[in-house]
Amino acid sequence: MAQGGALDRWVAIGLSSGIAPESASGITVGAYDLALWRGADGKARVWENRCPHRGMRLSYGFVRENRLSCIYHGWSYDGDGSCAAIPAHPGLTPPKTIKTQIFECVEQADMIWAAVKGTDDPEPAIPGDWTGCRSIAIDAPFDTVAGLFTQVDFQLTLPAGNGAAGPLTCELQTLGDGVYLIRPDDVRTCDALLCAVQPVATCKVMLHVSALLTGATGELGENLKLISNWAISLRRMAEAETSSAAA
Amino acid sequence: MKLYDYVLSGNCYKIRLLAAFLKLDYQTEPVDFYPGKQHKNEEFLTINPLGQLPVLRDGDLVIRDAQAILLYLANKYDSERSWWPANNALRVGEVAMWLSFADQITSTASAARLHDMLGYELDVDAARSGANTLFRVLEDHLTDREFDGDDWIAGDCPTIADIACFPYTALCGDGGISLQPFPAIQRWVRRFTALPGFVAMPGINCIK
Amino acid sequence: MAMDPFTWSHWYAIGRLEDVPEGGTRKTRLLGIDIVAHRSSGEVTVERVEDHAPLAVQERYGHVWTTFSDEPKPLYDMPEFDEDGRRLVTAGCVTVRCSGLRAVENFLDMAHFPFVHTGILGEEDHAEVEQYCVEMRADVNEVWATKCRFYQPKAAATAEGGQMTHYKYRVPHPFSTILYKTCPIREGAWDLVGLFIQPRDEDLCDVHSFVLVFDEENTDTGLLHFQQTIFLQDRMILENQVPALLPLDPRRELPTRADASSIAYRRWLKENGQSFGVLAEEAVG
Repeated sequence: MAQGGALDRWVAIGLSSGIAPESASGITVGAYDLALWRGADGKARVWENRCPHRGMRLSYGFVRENRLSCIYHGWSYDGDGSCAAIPAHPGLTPPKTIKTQIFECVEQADMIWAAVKGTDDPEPAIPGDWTGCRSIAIDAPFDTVAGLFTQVDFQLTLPAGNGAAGPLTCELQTLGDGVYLIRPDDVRTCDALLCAVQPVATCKVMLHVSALLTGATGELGENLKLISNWAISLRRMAEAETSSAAA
Repeated sequence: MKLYDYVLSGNCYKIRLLAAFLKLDYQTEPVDFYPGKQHKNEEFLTINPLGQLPVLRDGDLVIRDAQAILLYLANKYDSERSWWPANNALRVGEVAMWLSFADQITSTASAARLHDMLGYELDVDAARSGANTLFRVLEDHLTDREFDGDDWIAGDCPTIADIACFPYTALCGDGGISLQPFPAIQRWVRRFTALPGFVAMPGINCIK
Repeated sequence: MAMDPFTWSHWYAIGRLEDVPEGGTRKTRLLGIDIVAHRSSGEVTVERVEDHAPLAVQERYGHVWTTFSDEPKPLYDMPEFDEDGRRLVTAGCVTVRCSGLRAVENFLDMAHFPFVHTGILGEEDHAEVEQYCVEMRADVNEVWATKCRFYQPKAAATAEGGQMTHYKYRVPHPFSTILYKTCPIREGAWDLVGLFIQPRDEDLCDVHSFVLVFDEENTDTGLLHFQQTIFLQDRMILENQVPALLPLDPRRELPTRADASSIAYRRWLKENGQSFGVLAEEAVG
């Protein structure tokens, strides 16, 4: 179940544009503590956030070319997770047994998706030239945020900018647990939005939003701001519902 | 020029950062803020009656308060007028707004850090929750800035607003606050540490 | 709570002498138990908060020490504290979210200097850790690492420029460790830097530290800033090691030759039956 944050199915964990080449970042999905990093080759990787040497979180490490190095002792790892160098022993070829635990990682719809190795969940395949808009933290349970998509009338909330008059009629398609495709009838802000909910903790999620903008008019940045503001309004709704449920 | 300095103070670090960016020559006078509370002793109170760091002495001038010192140094020593965009009223307003915001980060994120690290007695839950509220405002702002193609808090180059907001944001982990919910802030921190002349402080790693 | 007789048998520093001034009290926590220290007529008393049970107290090495044990192991000896001409700087207590055992292990480790204390205790171009000696001294039940050599750009507050520094490390207590390093201004003498760790809980500790040196150049505050810089660089690492408790099973965290002192320390803890602050062994099958 997505609510528990299990990675036996694919979960969106960030926007592709959110992680620059030669950088690393920490990601939480339920009980999973992950290091997401991108090499100079542009390839994103997702690993267990723990150096096999002394347990340091690898997300604090540094990336040079296509290797991630631990900040603690500089042990560096190739893209496949095998240890390539141990600075304390420059002459030593690291034993093959030193390997990080790696997860599956693909990029689709300008988002980064992760799952455990050997998952039987089919890889996400969302065709189109998507533009990542933003990842927004929401202090609400997964079900509350997912519920906004399946219960709320989106005609009331979708951005109607660039001269289009709201409310917009739109079609909502559920692509997976917490993954939604929204197509408004007026494409002047966007042709479609892809929203993916990442469970973080009991009352915390990240909502990742990408947009198809092929038919959109106006400045790219202004369209993205409209969509981002819409995501902020979703955050407000989800958090209001959460606090009224708690009261 | 002399900076009354404490190595673990994010507010003193603001001054060390601007001095490094502007390549200023200065001396430091180390103050035993912890555990000695030297900033509260009589001798120091004659320098700053508020009993706070940092304090800068430049010739006959003695100036206190991190944001005030940033303003002074930028106005006096930045011939490019980029760190404090004095010629642009709109930018001046924006930068001043975020300087004041930085003080709120100090009273929340820095308070949580003092509690968790040095055992200060205060309401740490309130401090953390206050910091999270502020970070959300900064996150939304930096997200919009990125949509405009800009990397910094105000305008198209770093200003003293970035310097003022940086230390206690980057150090928030010391006080048990995570930046994971704030990806735009994380990207801004990364850009900031890559600025030419950047210097680190304990708690902020920056191996490239 | 994973209490064990070895942990229970020791004295623990709970603050600097100055932290318990005349008429003052210091509330704190040791091994999961709330305690309070108080000084009146010059004398420090410590009691358990729950039942006001008085605890044994001694003032030594610039700190107040206490124990829950009725028959504590004697506090280890550091004769250097009685030598003339040395300066003692106590750096105050810093709280860290990790097992105190992780903090000891980090202190014994030279291999992290180039990456965590970059430009001060190490640099990437000189990251090699040469072989050093490790011994368990059975007579005193202590772990020592000797003949340690490491290239350091700025080994101490006094040091100018890089040098090969010679170290000895000592672990006389599961939650204490002392570094002896060659004194740059006095031939044949060792400067001391040490940690007295107060385990508040299994995964939370207060680290008290001291510097005991021959030094005519730096102010006390200069030495303090140097010591705090180093320790606060370590704190960020210690709070991000997973898990927070120290695993003793060598299959769980993979060591190399540079970790000889860590290997010996973990083995020593295991042999002494340490369980407080240790990751419970999982069934490996």
